[in-house]
Amino acid sequence: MLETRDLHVTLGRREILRGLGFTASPGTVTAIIGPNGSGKTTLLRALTGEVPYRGRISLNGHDIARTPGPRLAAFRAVLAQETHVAFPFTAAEIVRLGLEAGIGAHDPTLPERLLAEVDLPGYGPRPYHDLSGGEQARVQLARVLAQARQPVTPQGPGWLMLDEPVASLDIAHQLLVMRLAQRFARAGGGVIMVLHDLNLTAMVADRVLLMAGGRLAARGTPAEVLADTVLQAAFGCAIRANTPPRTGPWVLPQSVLADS
Amino acid sequence: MVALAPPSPGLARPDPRRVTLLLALATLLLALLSLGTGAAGLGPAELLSAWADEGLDRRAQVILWDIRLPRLALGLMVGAALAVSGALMQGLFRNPLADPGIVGVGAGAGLGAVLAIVLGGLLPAGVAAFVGAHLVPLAAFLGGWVATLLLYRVATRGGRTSVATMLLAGIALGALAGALTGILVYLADDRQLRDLTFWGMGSLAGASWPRIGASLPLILPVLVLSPLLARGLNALALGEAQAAHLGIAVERVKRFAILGVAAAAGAAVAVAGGIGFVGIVVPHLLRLLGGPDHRHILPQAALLGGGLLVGADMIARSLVAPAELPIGIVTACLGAPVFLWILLRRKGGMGL
Ligand SMILES: Nc1ncnc2c1ncn2[C@@H]1O[C@H](COP(=O)(O)OP(=O)(O)OP(=O)(O)O)[C@@H](O)[C@H]1O
Ligand SMILES: [Mg+2]
Repeated sequence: MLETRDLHVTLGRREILRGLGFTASPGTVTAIIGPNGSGKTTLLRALTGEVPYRGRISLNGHDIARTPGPRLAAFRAVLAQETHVAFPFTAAEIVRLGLEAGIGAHDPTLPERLLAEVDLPGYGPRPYHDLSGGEQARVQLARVLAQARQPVTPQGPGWLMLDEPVASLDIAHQLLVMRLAQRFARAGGGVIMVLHDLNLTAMVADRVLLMAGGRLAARGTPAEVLADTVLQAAFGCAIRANTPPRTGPWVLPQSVLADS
Repeated sequence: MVALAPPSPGLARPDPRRVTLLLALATLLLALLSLGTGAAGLGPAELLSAWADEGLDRRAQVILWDIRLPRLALGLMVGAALAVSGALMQGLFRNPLADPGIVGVGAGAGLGAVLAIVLGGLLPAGVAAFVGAHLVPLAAFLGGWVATLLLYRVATRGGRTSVATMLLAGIALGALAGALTGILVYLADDRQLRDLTFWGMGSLAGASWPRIGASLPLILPVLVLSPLLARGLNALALGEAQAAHLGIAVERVKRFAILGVAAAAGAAVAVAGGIGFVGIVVPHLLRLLGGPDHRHILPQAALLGGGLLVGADMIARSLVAPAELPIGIVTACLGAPVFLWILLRRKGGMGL
């Protein structure tokens, strides 16, 4: 269980997160959506202990402010919005960093198997810096999956915290990543991810948190949050949302020309 | 250096254990050659044959035990210390251009040495007698430590050390040390000027068993224990935040790396003066050879750094024999072109 209460984050002199609280259960996918600058990344960085916060965050019953990082790393893996790699590591070496952080022994074929899972078969020996943007993003995802390869760990459910995992991916690979996230959750792990694509959100999320101006503007099921009025108020543009009973909700901007 | 092709994209790299073995053999070979090189005209063949027969005569024994062996040991130690320190700093700063000097060791040690050379005569007679010939190394070591601790304090807030602040503060400190050194140079007489110039160019000529005994306790633990930091340094290549998420105790890795470098590089500079380029070139060559994994780079750096410095010392001793060149000149002459070559063959900028 992930529980946050009355969370405040101040960076520099600005209060970025202004009091929010929510819970997320293992076995579910929680999507965090909202406009640029609304505080999604900051929220994720607070959840992962990267920025100082006021309030309380607990993961599997551990107050994360009081739990040593290595303990948390045993059941929580994090994908940042951007990752720069300093030295000419190969794809397999990057994935191995995740394996070494996870628990249990690992055999030497695992990096290649995990790369194949993100549709990068045989990419192990290739230098990371030579890969395309979307390929690099999937190598990082494979590293995160390597760290969290057990959805349920001896220390409780595993957690994936992903900041815009599909931002640089084509549509097929976006769906692949959503499938991997969903599989992790169905196997008993918890997934928290920041998404910009509202339709992917509608498809994959069990719970949606809509951020605006450092607060939660709405929360609930996709059908509840992905509604015309809610989205228009948060994003400030004309959006049509529809919830046909068979397909679930989908979302469409009215027009590039329309201003609200 | 070693006849191995650099890795081409997508191809498997040479087995790191084989690289380590080759480096060990090459270093051993250089060490044996170096024992047979020197002003006394005692060549490797004579040494070997004397050894094979009834043992060495008195004169050969003295040359071997009191001159060449300590010099060889010091060269191996200093080279290893500089190269491992370079690898640690490059890993910590995530920057292939970092070298041991980045934590202020060079600037502080230089200032300490110059202080000792120029103002050493003002010390009370009792103190001077006590430290004796070790005054300059001692002052250099202390200077390096003071500088490192100062930078570390400046860059650490609330238990977190900012690597970027350390880098920038290091530049300021370097400038300050340079200015103070300038004042001392201005005050120095001709003999002192000559001494401090030569100190700045580095030399293994001061090698002696007591000096090795004094620096070994500072250098050896760093060489042996640095591989424990390898996993942390590998993870740090993704940035401090990602490394922390991977379960690395990032602040501890930083602290140990900085203190390790202050100890090892500080001791190396103290006993051998300013020897450039070993710390920066060796990790580069190793990354080209077998990839950037610090688990291999750190032990290999000790071997290649040691071997390189022993080789450079042989050149320094034989080029203008029976006199000898300052070894820092040799390492710069070898290191700078190699460094340029690395930069030119890699047009991808920071992907080094
Ligand atoms: N270190 C910082 N210091 C000051 N302000 C910051 C800092 N980091 C983020 N901010 C500000 O906090 C706000 C929220 O940033 P955040 O990165 O959380 O947004 P986001 O919702 O992830 O946006 P995006 O969709 O663009 O990724 C922004 O206005 C940003 O400028
Ligand atoms: Mg963001």
